[in-house]
Amino acid sequence: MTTASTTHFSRDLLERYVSGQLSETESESITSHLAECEACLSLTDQLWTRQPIGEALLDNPDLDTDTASRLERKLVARIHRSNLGSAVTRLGTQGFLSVAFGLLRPFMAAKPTPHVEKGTKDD
Amino acid sequence: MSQLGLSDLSDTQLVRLCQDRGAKDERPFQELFHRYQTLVWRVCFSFTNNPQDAEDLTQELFFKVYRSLHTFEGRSSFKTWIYRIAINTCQNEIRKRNSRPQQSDYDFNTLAEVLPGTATLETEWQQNQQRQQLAAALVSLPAEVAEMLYLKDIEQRPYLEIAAMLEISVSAAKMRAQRARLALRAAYDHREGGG
Ligand SMILES: [Zn+2]
Repeated sequence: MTTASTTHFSRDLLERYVSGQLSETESESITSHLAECEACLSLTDQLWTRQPIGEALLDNPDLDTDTASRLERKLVARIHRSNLGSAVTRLGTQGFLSVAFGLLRPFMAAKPTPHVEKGTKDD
Repeated sequence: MSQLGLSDLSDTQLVRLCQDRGAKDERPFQELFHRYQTLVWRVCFSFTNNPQDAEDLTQELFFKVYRSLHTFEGRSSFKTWIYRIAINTCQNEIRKRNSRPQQSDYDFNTLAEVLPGTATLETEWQQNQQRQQLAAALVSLPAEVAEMLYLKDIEQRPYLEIAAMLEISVSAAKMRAQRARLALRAAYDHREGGG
């Protein structure tokens, strides 16, 4: 870990840093300093939140209660529909398998290797 | 009441309940929904800047989460897991949408023509333009950059907490946050310049 340099960056320079006016090299050296210097970092955070972008990020609204309850109703209904759908499919598959197994059982009992014709031919 | 009991459980306990009970009982999932609906909606809003889109995406996302709860292994916290799904879903959905022909949702231009010279309307229009541009810039960034901006600048979390959540050092968190801001700035300015 490097020790923080005692010379801090000016407010003006940090202002240009947050508004993206510096070169990549300049920006990178400031970024490294900010990682180690609490004073410059908190000033930078402040300057950033005063920028239109920083402000707009902060301004992100909250979910209102009407939307929240509408969302929950719709979601629960959708989950029910989908569970119902998959229950029917599952039941259908299980039903089919047990019937198929029931039909095959006599063959399996009679011959060790039953030859079962699979499916019907497509037209 | 079992509802009262559910609110005392941790996220991981609730997820386990969902996994165990499956389709038989959706109440544990509803409890998770209550805990994270605002977080998810806010992520969706930041990427769309449109309440209706945010609502639709939130619903889509929770349904997706419900269907993929069995894949949650608890390596990250449920919270981290869900907002990462939110960021990815939003970015993918909007990128997909942007590749189709556009239609504008807010028609402030027309409004301004009907009521010319209304200062508040103009400011509102400008602010909305700004937010649209910001949302578009957020969509264009890599997911981990958007994640950092979400944690630091939307949710206002301290660097220490972000470092813990992402399992990185505090100074790495500080640097990544600054780089994320600069990347957002560049993407935003690029859009402004490019029209
Ligand atoms: Zn300093």
